[in-house]
Amino acid sequence: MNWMLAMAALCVINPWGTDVFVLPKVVFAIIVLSLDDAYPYSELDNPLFVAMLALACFTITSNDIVHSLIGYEIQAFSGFLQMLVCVMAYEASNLRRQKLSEIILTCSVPMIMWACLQGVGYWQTIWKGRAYSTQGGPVFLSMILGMIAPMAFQSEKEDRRWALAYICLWSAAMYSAGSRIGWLMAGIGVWML
Amino acid sequence: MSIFNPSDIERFLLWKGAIAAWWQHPIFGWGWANFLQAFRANRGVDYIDSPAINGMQNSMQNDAHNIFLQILVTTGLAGFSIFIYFLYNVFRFLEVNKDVSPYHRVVRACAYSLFVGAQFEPISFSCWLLIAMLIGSIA
Repeated sequence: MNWMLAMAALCVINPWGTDVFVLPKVVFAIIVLSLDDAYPYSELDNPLFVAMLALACFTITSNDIVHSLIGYEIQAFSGFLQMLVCVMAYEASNLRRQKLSEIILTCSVPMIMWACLQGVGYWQTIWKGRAYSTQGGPVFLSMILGMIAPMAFQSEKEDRRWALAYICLWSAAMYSAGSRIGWLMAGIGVWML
Repeated sequence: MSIFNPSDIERFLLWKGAIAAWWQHPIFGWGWANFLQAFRANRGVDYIDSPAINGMQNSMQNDAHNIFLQILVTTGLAGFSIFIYFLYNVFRFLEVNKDVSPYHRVVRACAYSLFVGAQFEPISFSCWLLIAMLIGSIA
C-alpha cells in the first residue's frame, strides 16, 4: 500500500467528512487505493516518519477532536507536520508523479458528482442552494477544484475523451458551488500551464 | 453569482481590521491561531454594520482571508520574514524547473493557482497537503 498516495486520496475524498456518504466513500477510497500496490515506501521503516504520519492522519481525519482535546496551537503545528511529512516522503519518480495526478483526479470524481447532484436539485444543500462537499462549504469545494484544474487540462492533451468528460462535470460542479475564487484559481492555473 | 457582492465589502473591512491588529503587535504578532481574538479586538463598527454581517456582534472570524495578513497578524514581521523566504525558495524552485517536464508545469500551475486563492480565502488543510505532495513529488 502506498501510504502517501492514500493520504492524497483521503484529502480529496475525506471519508470522515460529516455527511451521510461516509461508507460509500470509504469503499471507493479502498477500491482506488487497492489499485496501487507497486510502489513500496522505504520511509515506513523510519519510526520518526511513521509517528509524524500518524499525527498527520489524525489531524486530517479528526479536526474537531483535535480542537476539543488539545487546542488550536497543536492543530496548527500538526498542519506543518503534514506538509513536512509529505515533502520528506516524496522522491523524484515519474511513475509516482503520474499516479499522484491520477489519484487526485479520480478521487475528485465522486466529490464532483455529488456537487452536480446538489446543483440539479437531487440532493438538498445546506448552503443557500450552493453545492458543498466533504471538503467543507462551497468555497472550499470550489478552491480544491480550482487548484486541480491544471491537472485536468494537462491530461486533456494525453487522454482527450476522458478528460473532456471530466472537465464538463468539473465545470458543472464549479457552477453549482457558486464561488468566484475557484474560477479565478482555475483560470490562473490553466494560464500558467 | 455576480462579480461583486456584499461579502466583498466584508472582506475589505476584514483586511482593514487585520492591519490594525497587526499594528498592535508588529514584531511577533498575536500568536498562532489567535486571529479570532486579534480581529475581535480591532474590528471596526463599519465591519459589524456591513451588509454581510448585518449587525451580528457575535460574528466569528478566525481567518484574515489573505495569507499574508494572516501570517502578519499571527506571527508578526518575524514569522512573515520566514514565510516570505519560504515562498521565495518554493517559487524559485518551481520557476527554475518548469521546463523539465509537463508534469513540472502542472505542479507550478497548481502552486500559482493556490497562491492566488490564498489572497482572498482561507486555505483548507487538504489544499496545503495536496500542494505539498505535488511540490514534494518533483523535489
